[in-house]
Amino acid sequence: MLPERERPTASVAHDAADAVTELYRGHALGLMRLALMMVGDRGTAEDVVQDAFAGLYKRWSRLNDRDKALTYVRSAVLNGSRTALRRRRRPLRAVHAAPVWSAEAAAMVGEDRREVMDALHRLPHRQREALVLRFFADLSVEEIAAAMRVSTGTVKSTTSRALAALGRILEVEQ
Amino acid sequence: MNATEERLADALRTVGETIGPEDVPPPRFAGRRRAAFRRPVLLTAAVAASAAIVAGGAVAGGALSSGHETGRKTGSLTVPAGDVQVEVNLCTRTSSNASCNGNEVTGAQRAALKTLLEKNRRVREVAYLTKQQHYQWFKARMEKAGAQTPPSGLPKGIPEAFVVTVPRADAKGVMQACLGYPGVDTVVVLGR
Repeated sequence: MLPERERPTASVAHDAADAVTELYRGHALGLMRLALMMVGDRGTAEDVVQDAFAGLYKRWSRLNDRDKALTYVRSAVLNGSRTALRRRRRPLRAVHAAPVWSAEAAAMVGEDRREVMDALHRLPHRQREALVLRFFADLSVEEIAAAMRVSTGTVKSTTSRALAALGRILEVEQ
Repeated sequence: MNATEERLADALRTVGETIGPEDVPPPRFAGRRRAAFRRPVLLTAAVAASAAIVAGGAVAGGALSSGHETGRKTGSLTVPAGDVQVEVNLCTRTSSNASCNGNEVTGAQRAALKTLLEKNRRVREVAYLTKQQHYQWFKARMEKAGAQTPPSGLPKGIPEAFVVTVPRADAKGVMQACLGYPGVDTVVVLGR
């Protein structure tokens, strides 16, 4: 039999596994798609999402507000995507697949969409995140602010600047 | 929404849909929970992958072939449970990989890579796809996954490829063996 003080730990672990598995079932697909927008390839997107859920699982017992678990994991996906992109810029670390909107996948997304995705990836990462959360994940300003860990005012100004910049890039290319 | 917003939303939706429910792997965070979760997901993935590949083979006129002569299973590209496929895309003139240097893969590079793959003990099957076959295979996979149907005709930039079947645990090793090899542009582990 377990010592008295260890019993809650086992219970917490069970609770964490159930709760995080449930969250994973409901949101892993959407988060993998979100990560794909950020990093471009499916393998890296999958790793980013798995790491985000692993982080949530580890911290579950210390999570103050479990209703915010999705916000936590969404933030972790954004952070993980940024880290993955940073690593690629280092020499000898270019071990990744071509973006899903690259030349070989053009048949799937089409030339126009490929141009849009290329333009999106020329924006600063904060602007890119704001646009993807707004126009792909369809989040509210408040939800975007929570995921990006910035104020709602910052979300509004970042989104506005990002759209203007994206429009300019696309205009020049036409 | 204005025109830019509409174009953006459309592009994001299309790219997002390239990942389907069957592509979501079991969670890794809780080992003891994994077995219970994995079974239905893997079954779905295996069925989807097999169907897609059989469809791809049919569209390509059954032209997919393997160079194995070691008694391993050859000919078809069905994926046994527990295995995955690694797509090794070869260099084209439009490859963004600097090591391709804007050149198509050469015959010697292709042959050397084929030998490398066939000699790899972890590899169960190797299939070479011409550009046309690769496009048909890719198109069948996309249609099966419910993504938008690609336009007809061979698009610019579709590379020749090897599709390699390996045990799931060995996919990363095979991917790393191929990356950086002369004539290799990108390597993608499918259905991870």
